[in-house]
Amino acid sequence: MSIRPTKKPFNWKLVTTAVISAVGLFLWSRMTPTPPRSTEKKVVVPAVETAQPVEAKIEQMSPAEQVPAAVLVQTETPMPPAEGESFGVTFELCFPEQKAGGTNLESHLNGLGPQIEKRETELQNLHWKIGGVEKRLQAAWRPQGQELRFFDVDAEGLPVPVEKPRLMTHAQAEEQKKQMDAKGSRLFEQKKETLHLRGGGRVSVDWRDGKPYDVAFSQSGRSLYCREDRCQCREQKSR
Amino acid sequence: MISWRSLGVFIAVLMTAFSASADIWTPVRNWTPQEEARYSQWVRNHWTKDFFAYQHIVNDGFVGAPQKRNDNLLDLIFGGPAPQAPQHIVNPFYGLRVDCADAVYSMRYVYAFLRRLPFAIQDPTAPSRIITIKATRFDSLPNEGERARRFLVYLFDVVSTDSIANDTYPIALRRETVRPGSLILTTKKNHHSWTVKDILDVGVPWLVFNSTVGRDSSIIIQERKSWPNGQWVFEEENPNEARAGFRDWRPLEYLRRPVWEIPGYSDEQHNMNPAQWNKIGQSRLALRAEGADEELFRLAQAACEDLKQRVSAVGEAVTHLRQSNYACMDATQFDNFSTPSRDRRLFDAFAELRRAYVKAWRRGALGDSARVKIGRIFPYPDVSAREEMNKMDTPRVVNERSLCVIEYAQGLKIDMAEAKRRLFLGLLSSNPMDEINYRWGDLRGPSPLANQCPKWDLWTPNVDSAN
Repeated sequence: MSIRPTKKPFNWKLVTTAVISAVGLFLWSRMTPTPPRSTEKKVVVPAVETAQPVEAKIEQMSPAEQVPAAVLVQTETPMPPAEGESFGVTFELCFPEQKAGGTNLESHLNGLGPQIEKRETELQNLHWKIGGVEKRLQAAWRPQGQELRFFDVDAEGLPVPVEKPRLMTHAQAEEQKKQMDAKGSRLFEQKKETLHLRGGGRVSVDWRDGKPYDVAFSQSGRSLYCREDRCQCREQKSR
Repeated sequence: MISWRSLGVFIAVLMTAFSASADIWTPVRNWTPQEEARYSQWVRNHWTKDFFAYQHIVNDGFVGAPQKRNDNLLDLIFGGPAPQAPQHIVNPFYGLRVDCADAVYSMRYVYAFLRRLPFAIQDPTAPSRIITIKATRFDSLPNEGERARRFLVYLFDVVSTDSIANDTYPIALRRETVRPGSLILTTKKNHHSWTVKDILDVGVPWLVFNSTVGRDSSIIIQERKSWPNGQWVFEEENPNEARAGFRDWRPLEYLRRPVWEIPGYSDEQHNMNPAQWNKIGQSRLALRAEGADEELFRLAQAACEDLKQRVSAVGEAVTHLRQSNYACMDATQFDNFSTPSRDRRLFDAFAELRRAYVKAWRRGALGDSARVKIGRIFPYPDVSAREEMNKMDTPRVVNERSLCVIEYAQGLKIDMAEAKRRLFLGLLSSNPMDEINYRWGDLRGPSPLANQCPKWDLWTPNVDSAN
């Protein structure tokens, strides 16, 4: 009896399983939130040109390339934050002549009250859930009032402009926000404002849902930049 | 035998394949230092004020270079020569209308598309999110170019000068950092921006930009080869923000990161005296010194460009005023059609020209041509700008010595000397409720109509600042 290669029956079960798995994987990959994908996975960090701090470049310059002594120009010297340091310590290291109003950023800002001479709002982003769908409003402060931009949100979470930007008086703009508040519930608020302190200091705060997110303090030639409790002090030096 | 179940799976696979979402485009390379250098080169060579006016661009390894084709009427009718050169591709962005922020984003976006690079910005309405070309909203369009165009138009409606700061970072004012492809942003107060097409070897930026009114009037945008006024760029700057001045694009991995963590971040421009910003900048960026006449005619050219652009801006406003039957404007219309920033920039351009002229005159460095042509604009360099203004009490008539003659209404022509005279005297009106004779200073405003209507944020010249 000759041994002939036997033709195996087509394995539909295996193929079906493979196809279902492939389709499943494909659908899963499309349904997974994607926004940062292209930036986080594919992009190579430029290793040479952009990774080098400009301060290092300035240090490497020949005297001829540096700023002429006659020109008053200031450069910055970043002071990196110390590991595990509380905000209060970082603040007092950056501004030795001042006392921190709290051990964390939020408590310090809350303690500024009496020192605040003027508050200036620059930008506000508001999100609402109205009738089951998300609505957004961006208000940009202009010399004439506020420029309002209304957005719907599509299935991917992208803002879709509803109409052309509208310039309104502050009173009209605040009325618009009240009306939106009355129609639904607020999902998110971002507010960028600058606090002018007595004595000349300024504090810029990017509030997210009422909590400080990005904060910058400046006074007497020094700036302290913080994101939540991670800070960097920068000193302005005259040449 | 094929089972019904497997057939169902097969159909499902087919349907999924056909309905699979497409990205706006598929990136095939990354932003590397070499790619950034190539981007700079592309901006220098191909990012022009008429980029959006070209129907075809050169396909140079995906890099588009605007070049005019011989699309003349006879060729179109008779099917004449003008064959499309093989290296030409359709410009997917042909005919787009842009304002200043749109122009800034377009510069980066167009290159990213042509080179099939990743592109993303921070969502201006939701700071924890980003908007990328992974969006599927234009999946129904099979053509990549069409998707890229529609997505850019979508972005125009989302971005503004306020969002530029999220997507860029301030850089040191040095030849190694300020490059073709970077940009200039003003403070929030003046909310304007320019793209940097090139840095001239005399240390002057060649800027390509547009305005809100410019967006509606032409697909050809604007350019200038001069420094903007630092006091305007940095006006009411918040010391914490370092927003104004030259900036460059954030590496994509630094979107949403604190700006001060970005390699190359520098707030040194902010620590300069705004009045000295352009002088310091020019001295740092220059590869050679600029001759007196060369500087004067460059500055005169910049002022002339501003003057010409004012003709179309005011023309648009007057057309709107007439079409609306002289109804008072609301704040948005008033903001769109008034010209306080433009008029201030025009004044600044004349003031800078005057300062350069007076300096060259004092040094005895004026060439004959500058003495004749520019001397007509500033006939009294030995006195202050205010005294000169008072002495120029009669209109200058266009003649053979005139520089930059403009026709602002049918049959009404003035040259730079007369425009400067009217501007310094405060005769030019930036109020969009004024008719053309008030806008251009044939009559001193405000007109009765302008007096009756609400007004916001107008500008009057401070002549003493021109000394």
